[in-house]
Amino acid sequence: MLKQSLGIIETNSLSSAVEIAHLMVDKFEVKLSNVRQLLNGYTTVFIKGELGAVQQAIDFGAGHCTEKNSLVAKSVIAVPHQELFNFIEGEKDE
Amino acid sequence: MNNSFALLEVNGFCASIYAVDTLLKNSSVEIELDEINKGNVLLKLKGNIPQIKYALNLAIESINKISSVVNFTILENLNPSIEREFFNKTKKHHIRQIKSEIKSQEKLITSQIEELPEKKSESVKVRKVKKTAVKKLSKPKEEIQSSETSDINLSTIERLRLEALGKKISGDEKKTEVSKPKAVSSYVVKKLSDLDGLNVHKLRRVARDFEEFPIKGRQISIANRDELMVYFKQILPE
Repeated sequence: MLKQSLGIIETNSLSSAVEIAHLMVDKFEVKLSNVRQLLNGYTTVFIKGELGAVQQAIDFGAGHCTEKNSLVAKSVIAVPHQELFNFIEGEKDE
Repeated sequence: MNNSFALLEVNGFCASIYAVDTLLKNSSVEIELDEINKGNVLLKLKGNIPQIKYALNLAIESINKISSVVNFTILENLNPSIEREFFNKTKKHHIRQIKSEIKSQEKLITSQIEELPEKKSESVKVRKVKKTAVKKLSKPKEEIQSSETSDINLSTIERLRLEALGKKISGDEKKTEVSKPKAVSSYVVKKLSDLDGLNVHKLRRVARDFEEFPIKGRQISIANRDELMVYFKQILPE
């Protein structure tokens, strides 16, 4: 099995994050792995999948966000380090 | 000498995760990630000085591809007391541990309550105390334990006293037996329709109040709502 790639896209607001997460999961073969919100409302969406799909999804999401001026940052990590997921998960509500 | 630190403030979570990934792959420093206000994230790096300088340059380079660095600094040979104040990795861990300990204590107490089904009024007391203790989260263990032990001590003392008094046992016992169910039986159930609004816990309590109920004690506490309703249908008229 191929190692899963990680795509990250950070937006201005929760609403746009939800919108692009929905679109990305709908249109491409990616899974939503996590969503995190910073204190000022910046919301980060993490998606997992194969590299090509993730790259396309992130490009699509970034394009959708720039139309609404809500994009903060985006990136794709092809082969994420195993320990990286400890930093992403953080504190989940139990 | 692994007691030098670097602080790196990054604009955005995305850039910080990207930087953490490159650092994990290319350097051997310890990394900690903290969220501070205004959407900035603080990266704390720990290691010796050359390692940290290399890692810092690497991180800044990778962050500038995506977002921007707000500020950074290197602290050389930090005093251990200051280190403890600012770099307490165990803080979040600690809260989680306390929560898990409280949960395990709750489980213990509930299991103990189920083993003593005849002492209903006491168990209700313990449950109330437990709820308040969970809300407070400050000194839950001690409160729970103290209340529990005091209740049990009281009951044993009473029992011993009654045994010592000989003939009075029967009368006193009847009084106590009469008084206990009054305190407990807040749900008066005579028809099957009375059970509609009750949840599983209340159903179990009602089931324990019935003397002719088909299953007893631990079996009641194991049974789920559907099973309990089947037994209630056998006993109660519609």
